Amino acid sequence: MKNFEIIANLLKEIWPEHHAKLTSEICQLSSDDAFLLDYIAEKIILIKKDKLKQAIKNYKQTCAVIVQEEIHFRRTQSYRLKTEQQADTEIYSNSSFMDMYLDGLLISQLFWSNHFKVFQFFCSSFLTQISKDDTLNRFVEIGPGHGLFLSEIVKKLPSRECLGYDISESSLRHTSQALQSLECAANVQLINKDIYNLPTDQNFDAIILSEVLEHLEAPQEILTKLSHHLTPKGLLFINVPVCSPAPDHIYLFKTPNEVQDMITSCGFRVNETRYFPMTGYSLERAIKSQATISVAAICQLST
Amino acid sequence: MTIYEQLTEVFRDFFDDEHLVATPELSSNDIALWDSLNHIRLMIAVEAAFGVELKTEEITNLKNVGELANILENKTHS
Repeated sequence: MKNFEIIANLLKEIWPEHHAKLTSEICQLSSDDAFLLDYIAEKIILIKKDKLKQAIKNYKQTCAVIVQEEIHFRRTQSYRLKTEQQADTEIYSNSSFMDMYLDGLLISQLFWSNHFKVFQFFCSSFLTQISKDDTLNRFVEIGPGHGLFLSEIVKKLPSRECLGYDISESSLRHTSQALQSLECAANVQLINKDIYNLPTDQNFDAIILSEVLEHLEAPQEILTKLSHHLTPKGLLFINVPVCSPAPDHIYLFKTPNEVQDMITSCGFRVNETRYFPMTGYSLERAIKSQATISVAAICQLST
Repeated sequence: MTIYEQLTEVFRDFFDDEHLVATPELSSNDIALWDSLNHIRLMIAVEAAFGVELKTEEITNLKNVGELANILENKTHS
């Protein structure tokens, strides 16, 4: 856990209370979990380089912002922002906020168990499946953000074609910088475009859609559109958080079933699903108390 | 029922731990599950139990149960 300890020690210096909570969680990890956590930590260190300490300060600030959103959510049972226009004006166009927020989300891959577990599921199941079939050649991630998912594909499957689409220029800049730091930028084409405008002739053998739907006013429109861009043998990896207030979340999924129902109503069948409750919660308790649950699924077109 | 007895009920239900006792010194350092997000949920549960609304700064600046009990005492007697 050499790399993880580097980050954990910085966290202890910057936010000792959070570090103390984390220590009790880490004690319960399996050796496989610990290995993957250290692997993610290594990537984060490579991405942030001499800005690692600032990234952890930004993580602390991101958590403070999310606490404010949580208060709103608990009082109103709704997310604060209602439209993509609001999110664009308040969040995506605010480059200093985005720099802070994207650092926070990158570090959360390590410290929020639902984020970490989704990445583990992505690597162990989705990547394994697409790597076994060499007829699957063209991949895209919508909203690649911190770049960890995209970089993992490029690293495991360097000869296949990879694209990343994002409406946010700031976010794409972070993705690009991460891919460069991880030495896989040359294998990825990043495109600053709204996914609503994806050309109809663009088809993909794998689509990654992680933490995107909750940012949209009408997520079913995008899912339906993507069903027209997935090849018959292609796979969709989808990850959607339920009851997850954040500064740029718009569409509230209240239960894991709502996510599954939307996926199947938009032309997909679900091959595998995993529910990952937030740190410290069992699934049962998370559902009962409306705590955040990440719903991750591997899907294909329904026939 | 005293404020501390009421708080004990809320805390036991929230953390699913029937042995918890809300004392003035009890703080997030003493309960592993009491992190920043659970703190918000806990305070909303306290609001519902006491029929009061806490200010955002009262929620975010709280140090321990003693401080919470003082705030609740002032709100329920005003």
